[in-house]
Amino acid sequence: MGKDRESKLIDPWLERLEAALATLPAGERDDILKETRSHLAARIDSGRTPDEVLAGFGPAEGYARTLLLESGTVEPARSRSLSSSLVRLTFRSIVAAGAFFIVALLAASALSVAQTALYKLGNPAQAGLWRGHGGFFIGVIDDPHHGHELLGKWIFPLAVLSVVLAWLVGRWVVRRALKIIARAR
Amino acid sequence: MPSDKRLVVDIGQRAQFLKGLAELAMLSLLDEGPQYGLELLDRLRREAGIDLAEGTIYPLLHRLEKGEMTRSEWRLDQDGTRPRKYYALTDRGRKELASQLIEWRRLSTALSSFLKRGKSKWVKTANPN
Repeated sequence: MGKDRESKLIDPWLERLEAALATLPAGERDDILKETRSHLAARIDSGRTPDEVLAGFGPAEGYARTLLLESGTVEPARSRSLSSSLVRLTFRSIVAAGAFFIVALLAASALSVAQTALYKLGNPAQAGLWRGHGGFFIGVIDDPHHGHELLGKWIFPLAVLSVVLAWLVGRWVVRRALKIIARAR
Repeated sequence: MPSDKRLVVDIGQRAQFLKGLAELAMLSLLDEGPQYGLELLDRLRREAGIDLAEGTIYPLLHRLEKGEMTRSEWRLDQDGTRPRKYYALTDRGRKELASQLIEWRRLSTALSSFLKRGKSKWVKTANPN
């Protein structure tokens, strides 16, 4: 059997599989497709026809559903007791809410520093990290004589650092939370 | 003659039973060293007599990986032409294998004793003298 004919039979099946796995992260989805393609090609090289090999996997959508079920991406269609479902949902909600709170806090802090740095470009005297009677705060002050600015131009690298750190830590928190939630399923 | 519904339940139960056995056998094969999906599937069929469908192996492998019982890496095959995803047992996977082996041996011994008891009763019934 020619390679073209093999591709004509296998490629549409793999395309349907890719579409059915759309909810997975791109990296994970590409990994599955690469692994499946390698498996199919090896079987065909050993003398099996594409039809025979694909029959062993079944319809692409059904195979995708099994993969998603086993990887914990979708819930199995089986009934659970109300209490255990509630405990799981509560636990997942707490983890999700905690992660959301941390990410929101990081984003707000980074945004505040970045916004102050941007403002400082136009109004250098009024924006920065201030020490005044009420303690420390980062932002814009109406009257610069009421406080002492501490950072000067260092606010610009600090803003970049804040955004990068918020991005990295936020991403780690989200990944960690998703992992914990997936394990709790 | 079983009804269609009963037949579906039986097939489902058999599939679940096979899946459990396949997981134990797969962990045991991976204990020998890293292997890729197709190799594991063929060895399960050939050496363990577990006739899994072609597309059953990867969902099982991905579940084990999600559970951090295995980790995987891409390597080229011996010819250097085809990429293969090799799976290897983690420490957690080894612990799971040990735990499943203990459970399997306990169940197997208990079931074996139970079936022997049944057999001796049948022998008595067949030969009343």
